[in-house]
Amino acid sequence: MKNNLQGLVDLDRVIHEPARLMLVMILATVESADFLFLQGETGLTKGNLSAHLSKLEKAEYVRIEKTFKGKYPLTICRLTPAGRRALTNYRSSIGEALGKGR
Amino acid sequence: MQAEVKQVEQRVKSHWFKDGLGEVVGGLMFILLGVYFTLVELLGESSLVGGLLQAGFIVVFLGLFYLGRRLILGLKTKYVVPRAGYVEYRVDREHQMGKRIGAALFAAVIAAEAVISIRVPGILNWLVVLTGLLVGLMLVFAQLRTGGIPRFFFLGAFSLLIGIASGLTRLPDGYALGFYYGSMGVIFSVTGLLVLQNFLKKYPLQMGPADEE
Repeated sequence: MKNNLQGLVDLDRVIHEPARLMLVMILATVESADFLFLQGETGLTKGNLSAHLSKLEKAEYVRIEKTFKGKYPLTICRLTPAGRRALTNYRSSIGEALGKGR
Repeated sequence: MQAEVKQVEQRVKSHWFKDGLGEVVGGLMFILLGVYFTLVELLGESSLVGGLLQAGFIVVFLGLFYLGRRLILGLKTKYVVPRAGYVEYRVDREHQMGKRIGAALFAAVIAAEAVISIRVPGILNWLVVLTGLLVGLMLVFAQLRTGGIPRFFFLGAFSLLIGIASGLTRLPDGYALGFYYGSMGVIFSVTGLLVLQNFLKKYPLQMGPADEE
């Protein structure tokens, strides 16, 4: 248990932050989603969401592209393979530390 | 954490249904199918138009499916994306086979309805009951997969009830099928429109740019 707990120190802090964890978890279940969708699902303000997405993009966990759907401009976000791997590792680390099945 | 991931997944999947457009368009397609079966029965196989309609069933079915899909996507782009955002779903390979089997079964039942002209002996028109059951099961399955749309349970129950009621009417096949698809189409459209009305109230049009980047 002690060793497992020590594993918490090595948790990926980019993902560990609750708002970013929420974003990564949502993006892991879809192919891509736009800014407005993520805002609605997370309840974050525009500024907050923008800041968290920038951090995830900087860590190369999320790719952001500007595009259009019809006449409507979209900011599309999608999880990168590195982001997916980071989430898997995070889940496994936290699962080991807290005990699986809890 | 697995449970939380599942919850997020279900919530995101339920997003597709929260505007009711799928039901409105689906209802319209059901009404058109009802009109198709009624017309085939009314005109009879011996008439030129009736024969052509029956022979062209696959074209009618695929055409309706294609048009319905295009219409839903077009309406979502116009009314849903500017209000609630855009999401592209992952292809769920785990459940892809189940979906394909469901769609194939539904297509097979409808094809059988179009082709079978001999009545199954007995009190019920089993084909209509089977359709009601199949559509009902598909709705219940959709509810379970999205985990948060109780109206699908009621619609599923309605589908079975109307299927049985249509079978009990002892009408000729085409009229019974027309009654089933017409009634379900109206129910789908009405519930879809109510959901759409709530959605439009809840998500007013976003003014200005969607983000602050």
